[in-house]
Amino acid sequence: MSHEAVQPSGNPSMPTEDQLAGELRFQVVGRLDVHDAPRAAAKRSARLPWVSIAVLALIALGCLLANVIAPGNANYMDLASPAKAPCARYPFGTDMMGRSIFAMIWHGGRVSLLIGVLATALSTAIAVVYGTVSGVGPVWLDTLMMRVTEIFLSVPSLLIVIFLQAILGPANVVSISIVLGVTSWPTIAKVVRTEVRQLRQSEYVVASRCMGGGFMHVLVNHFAPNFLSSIMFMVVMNVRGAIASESTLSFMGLGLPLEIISWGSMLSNADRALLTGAWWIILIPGLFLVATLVCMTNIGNALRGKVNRGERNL
Amino acid sequence: MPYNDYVSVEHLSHRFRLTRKIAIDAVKDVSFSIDRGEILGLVGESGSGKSTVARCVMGILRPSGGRVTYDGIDVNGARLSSEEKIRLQCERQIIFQDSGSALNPRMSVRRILSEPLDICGLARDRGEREALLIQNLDFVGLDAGILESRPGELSGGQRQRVSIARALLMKPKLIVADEPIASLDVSIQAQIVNLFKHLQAEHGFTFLFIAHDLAMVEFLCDRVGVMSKGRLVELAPTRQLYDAPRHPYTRALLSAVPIPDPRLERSREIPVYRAPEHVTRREWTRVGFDHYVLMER
Ligand SMILES: Nc1ncnc2c1ncn2[C@@H]1O[C@H](COP(=O)(O)OP(=O)(O)O)[C@@H](O)[C@H]1O
Ligand SMILES: [Mg+2]
Repeated sequence: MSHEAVQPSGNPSMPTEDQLAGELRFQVVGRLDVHDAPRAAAKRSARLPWVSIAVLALIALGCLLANVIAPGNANYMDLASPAKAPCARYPFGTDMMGRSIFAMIWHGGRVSLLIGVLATALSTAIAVVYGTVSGVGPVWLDTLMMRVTEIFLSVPSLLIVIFLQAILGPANVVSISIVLGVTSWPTIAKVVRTEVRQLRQSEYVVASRCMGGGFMHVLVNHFAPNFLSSIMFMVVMNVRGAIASESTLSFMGLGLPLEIISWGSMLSNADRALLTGAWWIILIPGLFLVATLVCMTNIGNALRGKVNRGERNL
Repeated sequence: MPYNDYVSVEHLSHRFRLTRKIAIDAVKDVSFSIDRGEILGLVGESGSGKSTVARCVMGILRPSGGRVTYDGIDVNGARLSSEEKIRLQCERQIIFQDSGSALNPRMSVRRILSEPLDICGLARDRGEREALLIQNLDFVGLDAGILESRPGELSGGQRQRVSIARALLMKPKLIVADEPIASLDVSIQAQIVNLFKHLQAEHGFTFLFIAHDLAMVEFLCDRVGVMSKGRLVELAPTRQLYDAPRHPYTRALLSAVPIPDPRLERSREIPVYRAPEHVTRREWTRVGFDHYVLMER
């Protein structure tokens, strides 16, 4: 120690030490760099919301296997035990009419998820065709079609939904899916249109048209693979939105009637449940609904992040 | 100038409307025709309207004036029978300048080559299709190993060969190539031009070849047309055009080709072409056998 303290800074032995240290540092840093960099990058790009995916998968599986988990008619009313707190016989309790909430959750979840998927399939189909027509069409058509979407977007969609539902009459699963589907396409259509507008100038699209490729051929082979990744996020969000809207509508008494069980129609019992203090009637379907929506939001956000990070092929 | 009955372009003009007030006359009153089995070159500086002519011939753009006929069929005709449409689609093929953007980067070479077959519903049988793909890759000097690659993994020359193979698959009778070698290295350019020459001799298709490289055009083409500012200013058999150019623009263009001797190159004078300012009359004049010039006064 004293040896080091005594040494003056200009000592000829210093450079060798410096060199040594330099070499050492160089080696260590070099090795760390090479081994760490790719792994860290791979990890970052592959970060998926596993928890959300797992929870959502469990809920979806439970709904698919509703008949196995809770066999029998979910609408069966045990008139002897209405509004019963969770117990061994009814794990989630019963509602005001003595129906098992456990059975209703799985059977109703099926309806809720089905509405989400049906409505989104419809809205995505409309959006893709509408957006592509607007994207490849002449300027005046494009302008006209985009104005229409803007008008559509500026009217609160719930208002249109209620209006359409009133025209279609009493709601059922199909009619509510159609109503939610035909009101939720404009945002996706706008994105599709923007992407198509850029892609249609590509020479491979021109070449394809020259070879006689029709609208559908070019859409499926050239446009869709390009815009699919950027609308994926919105598609997931649309499923989420449709499920939430169905619940809102049913909660307000404008959606599915009480005898068609869905998470939304289960929530429409809420007012009476709150009066009697039967928290399980409202809390349990609410919990499932919120969990599903949150999971979908997380997955959607992860998808959006992935698209932004990935390279674009225009 | 007499038209023949194969490909004829008659008084073609095209105007791009940019806004309500501004428009670009990209092509003005261009007429020429191409014989069966002929290689016609089209040269001119960038922006002279060559691509626009090519696109009108392919029916990608609808000309704002004049007409283009292919084997008697009006390319932009409103009332074509479905048989005529199919003939137009299959018998005419286009090859673009930038093979990078002419091939969908997401598709494998196999899917790229299958596309025209899928559209026309040809060679549905797997073995038959495979054989056809390999045969056409062989025509352009590629082997079957490339089928699973994507365009991004190929070199520029290989990509352009894939484009050519795709065009050849339909057994076209007319190929329009819009500067197919402009984005390639010089050595690869020579290979591709040789390939064109060889393929043309073998398959006997008619060829509209657009380029700015005059040396390649001289080597490849039977006849050459020169475009300037949207007009065709001279059209002649290749030898004649290179030996005795008549239009001042053609002379300027030809003398701009560098001479491979630095001393000569430095000392020579390059004539500059200035378009006459007030042209009152333009006349398409025959000045030699099959040699036409646009006289401007
Ligand atoms: N899609 C387009 N829209 C507007 N102007 C265009 C378009 N394509 C070409 N032009 C214009 O037309 C003229 C001729 O272009 P082009 O045919 O591409 O020339 P070349 O192929 O000889 O370079 C140019 O002035 C160009 O700016
Ligand atoms: Mg061009």
